[in-house]
Amino acid sequence: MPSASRRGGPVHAASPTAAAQTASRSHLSGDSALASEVKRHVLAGERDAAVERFAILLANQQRRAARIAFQYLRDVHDADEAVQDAFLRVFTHIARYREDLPFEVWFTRILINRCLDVRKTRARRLRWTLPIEAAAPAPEPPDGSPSIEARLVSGARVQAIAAAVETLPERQRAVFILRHFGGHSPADVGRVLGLTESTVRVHLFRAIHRLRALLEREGP
Amino acid sequence: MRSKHLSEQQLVAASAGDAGTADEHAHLSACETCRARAGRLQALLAEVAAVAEAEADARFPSHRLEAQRSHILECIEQDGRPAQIIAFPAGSRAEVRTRRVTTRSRWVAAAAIAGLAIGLAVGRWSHRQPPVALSLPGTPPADSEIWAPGSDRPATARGSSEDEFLGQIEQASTGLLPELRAIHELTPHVEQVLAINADGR
Ligand SMILES: [Zn+2]
Repeated sequence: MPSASRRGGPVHAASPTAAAQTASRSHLSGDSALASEVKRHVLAGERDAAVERFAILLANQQRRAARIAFQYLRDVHDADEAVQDAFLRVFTHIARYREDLPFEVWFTRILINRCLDVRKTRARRLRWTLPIEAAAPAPEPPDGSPSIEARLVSGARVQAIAAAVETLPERQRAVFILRHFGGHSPADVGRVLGLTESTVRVHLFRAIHRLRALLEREGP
Repeated sequence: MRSKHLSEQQLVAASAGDAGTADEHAHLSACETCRARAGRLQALLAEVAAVAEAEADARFPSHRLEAQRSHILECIEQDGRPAQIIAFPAGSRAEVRTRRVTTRSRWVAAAAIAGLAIGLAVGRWSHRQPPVALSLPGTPPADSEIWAPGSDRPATARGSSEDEFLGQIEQASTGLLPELRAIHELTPHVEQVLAINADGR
């Protein structure tokens, strides 16, 4: 099996700056080319070559996918399920990939669909099962000592931010996540969610307005 | 001041990296107040994005992404044969605890309803509603549209049969059979049970 793990992933933006978005876009075109290669190999019956190219695509997109799915679902297992399922679908249906669409847009649309399915299943499970523990404890690293990230995510400010994002109405949240965590342009967010660009901007404005009201601290 | 301050909408657009008009640019570079407003908003958005990324990355550290990647590739190597998507690899105890749900009272009710359902309604529902899904040219359609019965399905996590079972119970209890709906209404919902536990324990 090709080892995707040996290959480096993309550089991810820490904040939605113009530079980060440019980096994200330039990387994107590379992944669209990769997806086209996978498609070509699949259509030519060259499965090994297709899998090898797909492994690189997977490694490139995986962290971003995990971030989007986690922020969307707020559950690590559900996010894992949605991400795995979305990638499997990509490979199974790569013949339907249209080269005029950035791969990232096509893939994110599949991912969001999987997230919706997972959420539907989760709602059903919740209806029929009774949770023992209502509160989710903070994540622990495997060796038991809290990592910097774990300490960070347990902070009050972090919890306030997560809670604020979670209070956003569904569509505003989706738009905000794709724009600010996924690094998509408003036009691409529209293509992912099936909204016009102006609708995306309206949702984005409302989302930011609300987050600001909830989170903005008094100036020094 | 040369022109009135930027509206909140203009400020949000500018902070989100939108180009903006020449007038907006000119105002922003000349007006200290608006520059400060834009700076605060930009800092907030950067903080929210950084926190969200750190939080997701803490939950999906590299070793987990590697395990996830290996598993996806294994499923593909198996040529799409049904392979169980692994539950999250070697999760921490905290996560295992978080995930654990009891099947106690709801499952008892579910089993009772299921028993009745089997007796009363076998064959009355053979069709699952397709999930509400976005469609885009070239996007794989929803599950039910792609995989015909009997064909290989892609892996779905945590046992699709269980989900189907729950779906059938739900359909039976909410939509089709008045007998079952009556039982369903007698059964406490999870929120009610939690409320009872919180109040009366
Ligand atoms: Zn001003």
